[in-house]
Amino acid sequence: MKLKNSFNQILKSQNFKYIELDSIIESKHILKRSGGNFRQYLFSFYDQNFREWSLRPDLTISSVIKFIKEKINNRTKWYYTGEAYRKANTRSSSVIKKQTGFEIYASNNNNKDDEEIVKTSIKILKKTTFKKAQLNIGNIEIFYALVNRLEMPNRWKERIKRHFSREVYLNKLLKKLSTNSDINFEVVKQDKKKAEKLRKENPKKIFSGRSLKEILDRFDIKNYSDPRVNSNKKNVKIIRDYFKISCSIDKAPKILNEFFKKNNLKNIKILFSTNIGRSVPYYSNMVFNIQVNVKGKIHTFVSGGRYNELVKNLGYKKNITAVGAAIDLNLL
Amino acid sequence: MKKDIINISIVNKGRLKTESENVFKKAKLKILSKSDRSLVASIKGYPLIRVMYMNATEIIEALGTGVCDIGISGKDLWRESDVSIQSKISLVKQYEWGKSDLVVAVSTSWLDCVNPTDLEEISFEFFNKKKRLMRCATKFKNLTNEWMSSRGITQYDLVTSLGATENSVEISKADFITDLSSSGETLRQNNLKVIDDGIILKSSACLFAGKNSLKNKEVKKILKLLIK
Repeated sequence: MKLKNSFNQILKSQNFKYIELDSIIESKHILKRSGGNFRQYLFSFYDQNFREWSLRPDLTISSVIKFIKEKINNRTKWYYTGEAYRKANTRSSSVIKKQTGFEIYASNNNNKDDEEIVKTSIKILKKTTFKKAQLNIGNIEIFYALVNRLEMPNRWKERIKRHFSREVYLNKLLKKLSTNSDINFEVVKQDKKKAEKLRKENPKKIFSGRSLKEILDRFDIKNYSDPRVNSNKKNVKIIRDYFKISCSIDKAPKILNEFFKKNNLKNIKILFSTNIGRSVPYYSNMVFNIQVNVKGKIHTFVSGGRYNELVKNLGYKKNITAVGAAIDLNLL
Repeated sequence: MKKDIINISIVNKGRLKTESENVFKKAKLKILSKSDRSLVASIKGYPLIRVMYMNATEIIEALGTGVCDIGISGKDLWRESDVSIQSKISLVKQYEWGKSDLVVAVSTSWLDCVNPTDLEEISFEFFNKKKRLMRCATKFKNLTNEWMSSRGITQYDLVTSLGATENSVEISKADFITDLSSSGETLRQNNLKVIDDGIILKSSACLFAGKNSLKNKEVKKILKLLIK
């Protein structure tokens, strides 16, 4: 309690304004617009109008919804503290996650605000009794840039970028890509014959909610325009090697540039990178975390990043930038 | 000391009823029923056993809530049941009958959809172009959600179907379905195809026991006879 109060004091002194968040969120905000990754963790239920609601699985989404409701346009610094509720993977894990979060919306200077969020996190860390800590910083944009420069079908590039935040599933996808196991050549042969027959029909005809044109366009991209490239194995290796990069921040540009040069991926300027921020689907740019050692195990005490797309994805008409961090109070 | 009655549930109609009764015959346990329509029976020589005929889904609930001790029902229904029910039931034996697969099926005209990654991509097509979520008709919401989540598919809505799920696509109630299929014939008749890696669960009839009931020696004795 004492520590929590001192965190709040730091945040107040940095001009973050305390806000109260709603405990339940309409599920569609979480499922339909934030990547849906939370679906498996939600405690959800229906109201009298058959609308599905969920206990908030995450405080950031609640905060963004509040920001949108209040129709704020200018730079805003908020902090909040409370509980998030998620189904746990293991029996021993708690379903209640106590968190303190802080955010800066509508930045005038993204880099300056990124720095402020990281510095505030370090100030908070200094108030704790953790003896050792490690700050990891990364940038998801670098991963996107890497994937964009690989020689592979566009739909595969989009898939890989889309699933960056799902580590287990992304590994499955990479395996499929490296073995070409998503294509059954015998089935494709038969489907090509069928496609020729269907081409004679009205392209506007609807089959299970999709027009024949949409079906055939995608079929053609898959089977004619997107050639199966032999370099998929090599591409998968490059992506896997990329995730292994972890180094001190001053060495990061050199190491990353060497990595891109080695793999013959030109025209890319590297500032720094590490493989972090992969459990939160809405981070889009700078990501960071602070790890601490509790009873011999490494835990993430603070995690944060930039989520410029989230405000728009949750329904705001304007492009509003946002950067923030969350402190795991369960570790104290 | 008063001994408790052991309740055994079996399916009340169809092939599953006949096959379940065969399990008792093989174990030399003769079911004594007052009439064909009677839903409660006894077993010759076992006055403390009561046989209850129930709906297959009800059997799972009865096992989970402790209403019955032993039951024969489908694996699909057990796996679909609420975690609070599922965790209180032990699978004792899986039989070679009552087999069916819970599958993901799409229209045969969706030539471009052959696997889960295609389905995921098409879900974005629905969301971005049609401004709605792709709809899946199913009787198995929990198992379907679990499968979708494991395949990275998040942009979809489930439409509850209570029967004849296969025609949901034809009547535009849904864009694809998940349903039980034994031979695949009904799917074919309704212009549906199972996608690659689209088997959510391989199901068949199973012998179940309530976890609490397994502490009872008499229940264990009966189970021994039934799995011989």
